[in-house]
Amino acid sequence: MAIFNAKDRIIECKLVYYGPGRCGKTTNLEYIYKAFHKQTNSEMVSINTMGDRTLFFDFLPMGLGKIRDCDVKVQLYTVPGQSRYRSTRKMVLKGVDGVVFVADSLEIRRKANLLSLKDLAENLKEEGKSIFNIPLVLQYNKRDLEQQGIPILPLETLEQDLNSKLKVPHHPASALKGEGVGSTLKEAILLTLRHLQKELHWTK
Amino acid sequence: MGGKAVLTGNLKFTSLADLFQIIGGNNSTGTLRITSQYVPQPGIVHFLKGNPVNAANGPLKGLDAVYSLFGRTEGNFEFSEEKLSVEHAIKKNRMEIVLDALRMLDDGVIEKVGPTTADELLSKKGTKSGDGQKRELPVIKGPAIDYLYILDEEEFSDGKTVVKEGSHGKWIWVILDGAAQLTRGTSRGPLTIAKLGEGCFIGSFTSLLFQEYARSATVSAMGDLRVGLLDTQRLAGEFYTLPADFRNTLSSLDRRLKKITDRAVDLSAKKEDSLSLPTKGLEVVVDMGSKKDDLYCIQEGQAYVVGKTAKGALPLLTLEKDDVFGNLPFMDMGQEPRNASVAGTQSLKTITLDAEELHTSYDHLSQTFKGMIFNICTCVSITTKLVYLLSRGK
Repeated sequence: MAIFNAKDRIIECKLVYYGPGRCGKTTNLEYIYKAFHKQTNSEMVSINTMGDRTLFFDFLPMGLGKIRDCDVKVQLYTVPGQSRYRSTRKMVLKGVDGVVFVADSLEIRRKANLLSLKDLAENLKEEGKSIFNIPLVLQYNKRDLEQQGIPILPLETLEQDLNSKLKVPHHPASALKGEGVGSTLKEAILLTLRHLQKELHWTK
Repeated sequence: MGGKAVLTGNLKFTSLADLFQIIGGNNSTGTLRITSQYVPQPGIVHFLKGNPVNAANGPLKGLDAVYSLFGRTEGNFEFSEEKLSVEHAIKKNRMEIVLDALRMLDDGVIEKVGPTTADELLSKKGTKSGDGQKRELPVIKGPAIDYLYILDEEEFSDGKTVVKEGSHGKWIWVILDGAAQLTRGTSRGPLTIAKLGEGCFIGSFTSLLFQEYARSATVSAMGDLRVGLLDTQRLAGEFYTLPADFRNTLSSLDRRLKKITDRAVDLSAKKEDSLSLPTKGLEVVVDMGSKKDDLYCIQEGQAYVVGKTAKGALPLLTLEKDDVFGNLPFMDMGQEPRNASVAGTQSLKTITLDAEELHTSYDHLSQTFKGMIFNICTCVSITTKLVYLLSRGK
């Protein structure tokens, strides 16, 4: 649930990057932080969790204008997937407004993607949310590895594996090079804000 | 001090992580105080324009103090707006602190401070059924120790007996360091009914009464044990200034602990379930989960405290004349009204006690007395769960 900071007239919403370990969530966020530096007003927080990193920073989307005379601020998070980081995950997913699921295109990571998506569904359920109606965007990351001759899953397979029931927007990406990172974020923010508008019956 | 509290509440409902974000989001300046039954001094965090700048928790200061506070799972908080004149010892970003603290909590670096919950007991031992002796009981933690009433310190080495079941003696001790186990003799050998840790009491209100009194269990040291001998006379003095209803409520709590312990011993030692509900004539007085605040004292007849299991009703214990039941205004003991019902026989006659008055008396009690009440309620709650576990094998 977005937070309305009436004092500063800011609507704060929470966007979480989820996905299997080493899929590129962190790379996504690091790229955003660097590439859109003018739109970030806080330092990037980086916490080393075992096998993964947890990142957080505030992002101010440009060009969205104001909603009900309030600025929009997006809190971007990654979340550690391992079950032991329950407290962190609970805090991050509490009141989440939108999710980007980053899938690993590597062939050998096919199962890891599926497990992580299932995990996401369960963790959202614990927060009283359903994966089927939370604003969600899929990102198929590491598309560039094909050029290096590393076997990756075709987009159709990924779609069939992960998106056949969800039917949400998806973006191919190479987070290391920054390809597809911006479009994923933009779509996720748009979906999230639209969802908030609908849920709260805001009409302009 | 000085500032007025602008935000207060319970950590069970609003976690420290949430609090940091609320205070941060509001760019508030002031002091957050966190109090807990388990810790003598409140934990303190100073915020300047929404960012923590300094903190203290016992001997810890600065960032370490903030981290340690994330281990509190229980307690109350109070934020007051006030001008700060503290050193800016913390430079780390608010969210970084929150995320790092939660990671450390999950990694087990930060120690959790809170009650030993019955759920812990269940989750650890829920897979096995039958004999309670083989179970690894959790060590019950007591509230923060009040040194005001301690006369002398004594030490016991591993395995040494502090008190023996059936012996006479009116001393009351509080555990300062180490742990002790409580055992009861049964036909099948000694049964461990509880493990007591720091802050727990050995001996109870019954010791303060002018009546013959035998120890109901054996207490022996697990590892090296250091205990503080309490000033019984002073406690007795305090006890007798309490209103009669309150005294009676405390004695009844004591009896309840003894009865639920008897029940656990019975279930463990005997093949047959010795306590069963009469088939006719019972009337529910307190329904499980009821929101009613009433507190009753029995004048005549009998009542049963009845728990619920997957197999149906499980009688936990019987209550008799002078026993108190209902919603204790100051403590939860893991039975009625939230987790059990009370049903009375047809001859049951009760009077309603003034719960508010009792609460006021409670508020005026010394720390040691409050601690003893807290301890008894925790023991009742844990032993009740033990009874549930033992009943599964039947």
